[in-house]
Amino acid sequence: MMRESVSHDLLDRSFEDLEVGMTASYDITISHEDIREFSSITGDLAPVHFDPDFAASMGYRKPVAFGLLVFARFSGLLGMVLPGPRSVIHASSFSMKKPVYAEDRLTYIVEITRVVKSVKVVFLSLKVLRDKDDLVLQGETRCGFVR
Amino acid sequence: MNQSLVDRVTPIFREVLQMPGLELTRDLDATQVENWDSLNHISLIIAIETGLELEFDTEELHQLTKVGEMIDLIEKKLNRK
Repeated sequence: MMRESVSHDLLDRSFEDLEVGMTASYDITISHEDIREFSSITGDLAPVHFDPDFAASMGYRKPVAFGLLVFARFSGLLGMVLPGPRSVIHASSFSMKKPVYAEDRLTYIVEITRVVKSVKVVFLSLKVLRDKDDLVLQGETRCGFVR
Repeated sequence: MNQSLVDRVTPIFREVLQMPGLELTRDLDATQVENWDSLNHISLIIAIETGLELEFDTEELHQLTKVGEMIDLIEKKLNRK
C-alpha cells in the first residue's frame, strides 16, 4: 500500500488566536512503504521492524513500526493546523504505550494545555489512538512563535 | 539585588541552563553564559513564571539585558501581588 495522502488544511493562525483547550486531530495509517522509506532515511534496518519471525521472538505479533516514525506524523498536524505554520517545535517528549503495526488505523490528537504570552509559546499534549480508543503513544511538545 | 530573590531564582537558572555552579551577579548577561542561548532564554522565562507564579509582558522582557534588571522586575511584580 502506498503512503496515505492526508489532507492538511493549512490554518494560518496567529498566536493571539490560540487558547487552552483547543484541539486538532486527523486519522492516518502508517503503511509498509512508510516504514521502508523511514528505514532508508534513518539507516535503521533493525529486523524487529521487518522480519516477522524476529519480531515474534521479541514478543510482537508482527513487525513493529518505528516509534520515531509514529511520532513524526505529528509534524503535519502541528505545522499545518495547530499551532500552525507560524510556529516551530522547541522541545518534545513522548512514550510509546503499545506497539504500532503497519496498517493500524491511527488517530492523532493535539491539545493546547498552556499558553505563555510573554514569550509566545504554547504547550500541547499529544496522543495517538488506535481504532479511536486504544492509546499507543502519549507525549507533549512546546512550540514557539516568531516574535 | 534582593538576595532572597536571587536565592530563589538561582536554582532556576542553574537547572534550565544546566550549569550547577552558576552564580548570578547584577551585571551578568546572556553573552557571558555559554548555555544562555535564545531557546534557553525562553525556557528560563517560562520556568521563572511558573516557579514564582508571575507573568511577564513581552515588551518589558525586550528591555531586559542583565540579570540585575530581571531581578528588579521580578521584585516589582511580586510586590504588586
